[in-house]
Amino acid sequence: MARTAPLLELIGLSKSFGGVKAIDDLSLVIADSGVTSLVGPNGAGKTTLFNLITGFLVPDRGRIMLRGRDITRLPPYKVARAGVARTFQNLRLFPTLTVFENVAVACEASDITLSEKNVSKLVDSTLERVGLLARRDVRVADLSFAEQKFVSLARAIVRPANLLLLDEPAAGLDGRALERFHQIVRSLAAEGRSVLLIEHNLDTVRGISDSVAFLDQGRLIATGTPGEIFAMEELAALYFGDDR
Amino acid sequence: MELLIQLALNGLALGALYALMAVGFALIFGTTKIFHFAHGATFVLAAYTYYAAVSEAGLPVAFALGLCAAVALGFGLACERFVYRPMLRSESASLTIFVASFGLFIAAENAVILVFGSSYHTLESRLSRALQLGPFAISPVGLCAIVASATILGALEFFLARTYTGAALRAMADNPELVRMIGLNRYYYAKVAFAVGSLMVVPAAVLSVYLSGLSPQSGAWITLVAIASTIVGGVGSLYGAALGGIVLGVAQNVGIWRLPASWGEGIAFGVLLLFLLFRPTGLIHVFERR
Amino acid sequence: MISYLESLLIFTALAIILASSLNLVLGYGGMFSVAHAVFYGVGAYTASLLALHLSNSLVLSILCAIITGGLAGLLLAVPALRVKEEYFVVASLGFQIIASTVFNQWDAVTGGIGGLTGIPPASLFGYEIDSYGAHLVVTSLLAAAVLAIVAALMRSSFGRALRALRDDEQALSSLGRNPTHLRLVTVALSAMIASVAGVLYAYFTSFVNPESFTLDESVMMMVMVIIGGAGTVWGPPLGAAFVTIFPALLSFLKLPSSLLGPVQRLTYGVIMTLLMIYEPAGIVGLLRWVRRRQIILNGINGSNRAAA
Repeated sequence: MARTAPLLELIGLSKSFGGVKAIDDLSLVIADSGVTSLVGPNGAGKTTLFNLITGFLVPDRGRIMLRGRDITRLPPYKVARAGVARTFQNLRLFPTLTVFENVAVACEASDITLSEKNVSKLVDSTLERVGLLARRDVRVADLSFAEQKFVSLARAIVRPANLLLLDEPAAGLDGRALERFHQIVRSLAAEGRSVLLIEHNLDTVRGISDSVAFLDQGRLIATGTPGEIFAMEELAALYFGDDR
Repeated sequence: MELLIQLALNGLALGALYALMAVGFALIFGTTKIFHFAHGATFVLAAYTYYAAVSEAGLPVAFALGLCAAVALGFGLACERFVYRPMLRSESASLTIFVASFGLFIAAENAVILVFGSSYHTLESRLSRALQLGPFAISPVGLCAIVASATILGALEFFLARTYTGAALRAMADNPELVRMIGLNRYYYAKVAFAVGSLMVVPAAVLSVYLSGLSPQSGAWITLVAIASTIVGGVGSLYGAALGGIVLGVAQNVGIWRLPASWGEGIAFGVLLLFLLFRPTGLIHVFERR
Repeated sequence: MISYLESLLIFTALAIILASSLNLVLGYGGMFSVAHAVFYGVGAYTASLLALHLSNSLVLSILCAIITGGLAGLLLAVPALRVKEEYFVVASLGFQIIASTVFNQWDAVTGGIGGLTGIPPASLFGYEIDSYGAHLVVTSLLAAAVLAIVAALMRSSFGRALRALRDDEQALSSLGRNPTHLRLVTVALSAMIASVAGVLYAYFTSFVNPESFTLDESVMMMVMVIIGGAGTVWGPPLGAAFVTIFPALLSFLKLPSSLLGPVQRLTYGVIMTLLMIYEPAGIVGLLRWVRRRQIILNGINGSNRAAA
């Protein structure tokens, strides 16, 4: 029976801060694989939702189920071990560690302990995938912003986590870097992982998502394929306000 | 049983002094986020100033009190201006600021030892002699401690609740970002917090010279108690800090009911560790705001 | 004179072990502990009791001290890790005060204020360690071993995680690492190493009493780490050497002996505060600064020559 439970199920989640509702009675199901984009105006509660799922915040009401298992009140490290990986909007890398070390820290966190040789192999292959193998032994603080973004991505994908939460991973990337990013996200989905990402660039959303969830003022307004969502006039009005 | 009540009474007087130190520390830490370990140095400097003025220079008590207040205020403000402010400006880590404060504390304590020696001093006054209340005895000094502490904490409450400056201090404790955004000068209010916190040391220092005597090492003990009180009471709450001070003072006295007196300090900190284990949020639970 | 110099070196080596182990907690773990003398004491009492009642084998003493020291570390860490950051210091102070009370009062085991006397010399592989020279060799070797272990540890996956913890605790927990567990292990490990120093101390002085394991001693260990440079491999041993040898230098000033201690500590306090304001990485930070300046100066000279 557990097999049939969806990868991630949010049931009636609510969270407020000092009377302001950041997330308001939100329910959502995330499929086993594919790319889901969370879109919505600033302050819609997207990052708060990530913090709730990953255990950094505890919801006032509602439940979070991962493969049928209740993870609502687990501390962040246990959520991570249950198979959820995330990135942060402001990256939050370990600045005094090298690129290699930043990623290595992440792959030792699982219950299975790897030998240093295997860690090294795993990290190097992940670094190659994000195009940072040449920068392996550089301190993260000395990298460019785009390179740092790929370190944070590498840190999130190095473990075999089924659910990846990426908080504005493409913001600030352009040209080749953006293209590489698209390709990595698609290949993650092809591996059978489920990617949930917060994204503002609508071209990116259109280009890589299988489905889109639209949030406004902590509520889920609509879900659908990118084509369906972008066809809705009233959502565009919400998103772009009167500018359009 | 009578002994127990007597011990609790002694503990209450001591706890009242602890409460003053604890609330001063909590006020500074809450508003500025500076872990002012040197608060205990303020205590030692103030107490020795008073002692020297009264006993060695033979000055009148009122004059000695003024001198004592000037030293406490001067030291607290100097710490803020010359040590913490430059560090805050260069965005030092909080642990670094704490170590600097610890260094200040060690320096001040040993400066006092160099001047006064490390032996124990105490002052006698007519007020030190115990009054008999039925089967119990309490010294007027002890009574003074309780009354002074209650009065000062009441005045502080009024200041924080009813004045503009007090409101700004509370805002700083709750939401430092907001204070910066609406254009309040955080260094000005840090100065106010240090001034008020350091002045609250004065009654504690003066009364403790009569109540329990004075040694340079008493600063370390009093700092510990002040910080521990804020934990026992609940981090982030001034009432909690006051309550924590009283609890530790009473525990230290009542604890020796069945044990040798030399266990008193150990017991006070045993209470602290028990709190950490079973009630880490303290007596008064404060919801953390994020 | 030789024996004075030898004993100074032995105490320096002990201080290096203590400072390096405290550095794990303070420098790398970011926990401000002033209870390190407790673990030193637990090691010393463990070895003394063992030597007086059971066996004077150094290896056995060290193994037992590692166990008791590690347990004492957990006794501190379990309650203390329930509060955050700066408040750890108060918990550790409380722990130090309680431990001092126990050392002083538990007469049956610790001998109370008088302590334990008449501890026989340690034996190692059939040899008795009873001369200054032998003590110096053993203590130096162990100090070198501790330095090597700490350096290796910080390069290992454990050290990596610990440095990551210092950089960003929340990010680390989002990767599946339990920060509290990591800190717990660090405190226990650090306590184990400190207790080994205690064993060596007990056999060297042949008596132990609570005087050697007070809050003042803990503060001195912390001063060593801070002045040398917390969170660096070479800072704590440098700081340890400085704090152990400085009083010997100070004695040439012919100050009255009652002033020596306060003058020393006053100096340390001032140095600590100034370092935190201007160079938090301590002596190591100052050395780095000098080296950078030299490189820049060399660079300027080089380019001047090239221009000429």
